Amino acid sequence: MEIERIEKPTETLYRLTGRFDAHETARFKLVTEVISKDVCLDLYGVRFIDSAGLAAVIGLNRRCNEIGCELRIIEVQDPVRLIFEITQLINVLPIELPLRSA
Amino acid sequence: MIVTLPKTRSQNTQSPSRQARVSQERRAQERQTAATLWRSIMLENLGNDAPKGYRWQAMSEPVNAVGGDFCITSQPWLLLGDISGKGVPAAVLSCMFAAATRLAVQEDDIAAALERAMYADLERNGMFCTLFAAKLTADGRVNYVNLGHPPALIYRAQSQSFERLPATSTPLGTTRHGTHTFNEIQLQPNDQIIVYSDGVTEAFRDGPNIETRPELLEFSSLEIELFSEHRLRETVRGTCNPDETLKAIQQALRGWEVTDDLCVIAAQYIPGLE
Repeated sequence: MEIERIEKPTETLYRLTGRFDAHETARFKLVTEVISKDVCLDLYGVRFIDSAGLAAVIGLNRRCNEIGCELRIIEVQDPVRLIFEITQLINVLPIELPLRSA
Repeated sequence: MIVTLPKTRSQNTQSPSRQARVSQERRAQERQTAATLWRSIMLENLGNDAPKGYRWQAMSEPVNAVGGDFCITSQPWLLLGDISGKGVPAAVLSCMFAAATRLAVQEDDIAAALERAMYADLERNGMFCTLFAAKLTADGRVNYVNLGHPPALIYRAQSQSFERLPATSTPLGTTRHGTHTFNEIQLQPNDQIIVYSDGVTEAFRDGPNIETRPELLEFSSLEIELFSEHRLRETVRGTCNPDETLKAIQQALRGWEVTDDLCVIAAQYIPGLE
């Protein structure tokens, strides 16, 4: 999985591409370890996430909350959204879903 | 007085390569012992008699020597859980769950009891646990709670149709004092309830995903096809009992790459069965 880090004035953007699974979580945790401002997680390039990946996202959300920063999860693609829905994590993680047209 | 002890034989005479080999063998032996212990704990929790009015079968296949999936059958409960991650850390927690479950089944709210017992350990280790727990009663009623687990399936024998029992709450370890909603469903004679871990539905193979659900295609460029819930249902359709169901699933998974721990429990309601 590729992790691109972009520093913006008010937030740090992490753009992920590839398979987010148990093999990638150690590096993800390392890269996102220092939180100094709000965090945005762009999952546009992620088509698969396993339970270890979900745990890493939950951990990031928890750490953001602990230090008073905000996490936004954006560009969640259907296969990953399905996993967030199955696990009900869609109700507790700050996932921004696009508005669906009627 | 300071006595200088003579060097042991291993310190004194073994070459570095021999020491490395001995160390490697010892680690392999420890892994083997841990795997044997884990399997005995897991099998011990699978071998219990089904409650009155039911028969059940379960299978558990970790992707490594040990795993984070656990099936526990403890009258009148059946539970299937999946610790996030794989390998030894997940296996240690699965054993802790097995121990905690023996006490939790005596409580009114099994999910709350397990959360009290396990939340701190899950949070400390940055892990969570999805769990499906069902209480089977002799009149065919099933009280269940699904904490972020893949939907369990009710296979209606007469109509050969399926009903899904999706998650009612988030996984254990994600929120402290989570709400655990219990629901009830009525089984008819010969209906089966099938509970499985995502190791089944996320098994994959190369090839276009034409037959099943295109939205589950993992990477369009790699054309990886997931086994999926749809295929699981098609596999189970037409089976007559839990033994047949598990054999059909094992057979169907041949040729698919399983990269996660895998657990399945199938229980069938047979009124009056002692």
